[in-house]
Formats: sequence, structure tokens, C-alpha cells
Amino acid sequence: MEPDYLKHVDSIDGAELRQLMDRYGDDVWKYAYVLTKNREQAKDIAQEVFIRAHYHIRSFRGQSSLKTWLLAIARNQSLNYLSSSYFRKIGLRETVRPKQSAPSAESAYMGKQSAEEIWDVIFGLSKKLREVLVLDLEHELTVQETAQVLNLPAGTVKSRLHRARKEVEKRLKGWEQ
Amino acid sequence: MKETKPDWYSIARGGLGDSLFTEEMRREVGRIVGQPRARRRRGRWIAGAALIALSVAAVLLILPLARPDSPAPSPAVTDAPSPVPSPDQPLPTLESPEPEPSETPPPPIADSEVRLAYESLENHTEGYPVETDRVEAKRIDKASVRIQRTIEVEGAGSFAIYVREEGDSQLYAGMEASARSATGHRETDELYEIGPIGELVYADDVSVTPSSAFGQSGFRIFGPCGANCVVNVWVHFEEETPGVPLSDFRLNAHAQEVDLDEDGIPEVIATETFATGKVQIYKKFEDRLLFVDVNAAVRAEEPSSVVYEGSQRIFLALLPDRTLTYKYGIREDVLKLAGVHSVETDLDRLIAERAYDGSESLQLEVDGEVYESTWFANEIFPVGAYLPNDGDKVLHKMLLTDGFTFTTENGSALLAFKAADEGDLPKLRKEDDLAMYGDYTGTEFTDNEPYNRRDYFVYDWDANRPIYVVLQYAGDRASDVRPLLLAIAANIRYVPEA
Repeated sequence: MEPDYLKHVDSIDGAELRQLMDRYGDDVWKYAYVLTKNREQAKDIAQEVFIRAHYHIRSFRGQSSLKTWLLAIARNQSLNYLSSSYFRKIGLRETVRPKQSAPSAESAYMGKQSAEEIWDVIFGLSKKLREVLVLDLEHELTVQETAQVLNLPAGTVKSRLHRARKEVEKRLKGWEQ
Repeated sequence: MKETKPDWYSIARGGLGDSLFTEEMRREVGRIVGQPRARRRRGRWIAGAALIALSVAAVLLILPLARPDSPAPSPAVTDAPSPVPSPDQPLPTLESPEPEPSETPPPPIADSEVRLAYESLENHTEGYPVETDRVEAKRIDKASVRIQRTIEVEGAGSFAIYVREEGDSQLYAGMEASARSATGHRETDELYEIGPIGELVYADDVSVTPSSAFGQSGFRIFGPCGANCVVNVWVHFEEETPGVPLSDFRLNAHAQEVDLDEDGIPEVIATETFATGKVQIYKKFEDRLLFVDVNAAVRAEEPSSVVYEGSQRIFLALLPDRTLTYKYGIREDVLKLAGVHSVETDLDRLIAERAYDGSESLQLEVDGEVYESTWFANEIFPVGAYLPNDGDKVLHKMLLTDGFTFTTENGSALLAFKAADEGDLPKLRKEDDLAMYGDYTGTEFTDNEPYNRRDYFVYDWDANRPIYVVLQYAGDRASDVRPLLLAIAANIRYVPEA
């Protein structure tokens, strides 16, 4: 499903929505999870994103990719969630593992540490750095696309991405001592 | 973005998992968008209201449990010190509850006061790591030595750390000689040679710090000279020989400057750490430097040990069956007994409760082989261990947040620290081959072949914050890889809070 196909449509049917979910569901879930650090909430947000996409597809004009558009909706939903006083007080039931500057002994020993440990470090970053890094690393967006999702100048995206990578590398330094 | 992505991107990518947006979620989205919109929103409001109502009900149900007059569940860790088990009381294990505190105080087993008889050093030229002959630094040509490091000390000038000849391993400390000029002091091409200060390989560890030991202003130069070997040289200046460093007190031992008797003048506590801990106190009585052998004073000579805990200002006499705690008297040269703790004697502990004394290196002896080892402090817990240096015997080691791994030709092994309150322990089984250790908690066998064995030891370095030391290795190669692992664990030290 290419963006052009949906550029000027007023609605999408169930089959088309399903294709969208097949193609971008994981991306949307992951981005919501990275922002909220809460799996259950990421699940709700991801579903909400596709419900909104279904109802607001006419606002998609193809200036960005469909993926970028969905990620931008996911971001708005996640930020709404994070700013909700109700959830700030009692909603964060899930604890993301504390940030570490080296892999845990057990996992490194077993040689299965890498991805888990790197993600631990990424989750320890500030939201500002975390989201730009994840859009680059996991979603493989270009700087321009990231700038569209975040509504930021490309230069700011570049500098945040640079800082985020440096910060992760600094915290991973203990690996090869 | 055209730039090269970091290597770790490829490792991390996909690490959050796959198929996260499940079929169930797809169906739910399909079901919702299939409904008329007004109905959907009302349904979500009803669901939200129900959730809030349930939450309020849950809070109301929980609140009474938190009332002060309600019996609270027993905390896993309390602020009260855990009772020290006597030989009749087994160590707390996962299966057995904490022993009740004994109502009977322990019988008197040590003098409540030990009066310290300070002696002259003249009769003890052998046997103690001290030199007190007066050495006046000699002026030498700077170009005649190979300077390895220069240490700037504010208010004093520059100290040079050097070897005399290319290829020498003996390090010397010297001080840049300065000359008076119309504008103040200026550098010269000469050094005052203070004396030997360790070995070349430890050049980076040499330090110079201000000192007021014995009430005399000066500097202390510290340098390691090998495993369990350090040098401390005190220098000062006198009016008769301006600018010339003089030394009349040197120790071949770790040193702490502490005003033990609180008279405003710091004494020097020397600690030797070989197989046993030996402590001496050096103190000036008017102009005479005297000393006392604390091991002898509290009758804790070999194989017993004495340790000075700077953070608590206490001396610990570690006897085979008990540990005695002493405090120095205020304005009097006595050690006052502050505590007696029995030591589990039925079983030996693998990991003794020993404080880190500042030694950077140690020799671990395993099956007749000596492993030169270096101190590494852990990042999370206030403990550390001496890890074998990389070389022929240890092929590779890697420091980790909660421990480290190493590989020898016999295989790999891991040592990790784990907070005792960090979740539940797995089901452990006591294995006969470690049952001789009182601090052995049990073993877990996992599916992680071949490294399927994890041994848990409890380390009560602080009764309120015990930790587990976890050893992991291939169970079928225990006899090959475990001896070194046990030797490392046996030399774990805790780092007292500053």
C-alpha cells in the first residue's frame, strides 16, 4: 500500500485498514512503547492510532509517508497519555529496567545480551533523545521524515541524534574493558 | 541520512520484538471501527468510568490495611541490625527464618579496655615496616634521569616521578628545585631526589597529598611497588634548609592519618595486608616518635588479624571464633571494647567480611599457581574483587555492571553480585561439594548449556544490605574452572562509606 494510493481518499474500508495494520502495526506499537515505557498503554495507543487513521484518512495528503503520518499520530497520542494527570499519578505501573552502563553479567556471559542491554540504555535516555534515536535506529526514518514526525527543524534532529548516539555509546563503554 | 550507522544499531534493531501488534488487536480495531461512532465513544466512556470506579474501590479496600494500628506485613529488610547467629543457630537461609535475638548477653571474653603501651622504635628495627632515619634530599641534575610523570602540588611546586636509567624499573620521587629571583621563584635544571617510591608499572598510581601527620605540615608521597607492597614517604621543610625536602618517616605499608585521641594532632595508622592484617599506630609524644603494635595489644596475632575501619573509627580484631570491636579513647591511649560478635564456627565462610584497605593488587594462589590480580570496584554495589590480570592464564576478562566474566583455557566463568531484595531467588539445592561453606546458600541448575550451574553465596557485609554472590560456570567442568572463581570470591572486599 503506497501513500499515493491513499493520498486523496475520504475513507478506507476494513480490508485496507487491515493492510495498514499488518504493515505498520508493529512500528506504531514500538514507537508508542518507547515514548510511554508502558506495554499495555502502547497497545491501547497503537489501536487508537489505527482507529484515528480510519476516521481521519482524508487529512493524509501525502506530504509525508504514510508511516511518518502514523508515527506522528502515535506521538500525539503518547504525549497526551503522558501529560494526562490521571496516568501521571497512578498509571505508570510498568517499570522499565534501570539504565545500566554495561551489560548485566549474566546476559553478557550467555552472549545474548546485546539488544536487550542496548535497549535498556536507550530507555534510560531522556524522551527528547530517545525518540529521535528510535526513529533513526528502529524505524529507519530519514532526518527529514524524523523532522516531520517531531515537527522540528532538520538541524535540531541531527544534533539530537548525534547527542543520543554519543550518550548510548558512553553508557555502553564498559563492554570491552 | 547518508552517514554510517553505528555498529550497535544492527544489534539493537528488532530488539523490541516482533508481532507486537497482534491479531487480537487487529480484530479489536476492526470491531470498533465497524461500530457507529457515537456508540463507540459512549462505550469507551462507560469502560473508563468502570475502570475509575474499580480503582477507587481498590484504593478504599487497600487503605485500611495501611492504617498504623493494623499489623503490617514483615518487611524483607528492616533498619534493625540482624542478630549475629551463634554456632548453635544456623545461618539464615531461604528455607529457615531469621533466628530470634538471643536474650542472654554473651559472656565476657575480652578485656573491656586495653591500655596501649607505646614503645620506642629503636628496639624494633626489624619486623615493622617503618624507617625513621633522617634523609635530606640530594640535588641532582634533571637531565640525568628519565622523568615519567610530573605532579603539580599547589603551594609546594612540582614533584617528578622518574627512573634513573632507561630500562630501570625502580621509580624515584623528586622535587623540582627552584631558585630565588627578583620576580620570585624560578625553575632550575635540578631536582631534589627524595627516594624510591615504587615500581615503574605503577607510575600512574603515585600520588602526592598534603599531610599534617604528627602535627607537622608537609606532604605524603604514595606509590605501589607490587602485589601487597606500597611505599609512603612523608616530607617536610625546615627553616635551616629552605626548599630542601626532608624525610624522617617512611612506611612500607598502607597508611591513614587519623586524630585517634582527638587531641588535634593526627597519628598514623599503618596497615600491612598479607595473609593476615597487621596494624600499628605511630604517635609523637613531644618530639619522640613511638609506636604500638595493635595486634599484640589486643592479642590478635597470627593467624588472627586486625583491621582499622576508618569510616567508623574502629579497630576490628578478627579472631578465629569472634570479632572484637575497639574504639580509641579520647585523650587517652586505650582501646575500649565496643562489641563482641561470635563467628560461625561450625562452617567456614568462603567470603570473609573484610573491608577494602586500598591495596591495588593481590596475588591469588590457586592450586600452586599464582595469579597477579588487580582491584576492581563494582559499579552498583559497594564491593569489589581482585581480578586476575590478563595474560597466559587468563585469556580474557570483561567487566560488567553487576560483576565480571573471565575465560581461561579451562573455560569461562562468571561472578555476579545481586541484591538480596532483588526479586525472588530461584529454587536452590545444596550441593555436597560446597556444603563446607557456611555462606553457601545453594545451587541452581539452568538450561543454559554448558554454563548451567549457578552457586549462590550470601555476603553479609552489611546486615541491612546483604547481597548474593553468584558464581556461574559449566557444571561438568567445575573442578577446572571453579577453584579460581572461589579464590576471587574469597577475596571480595566491601568498600566502607567515606
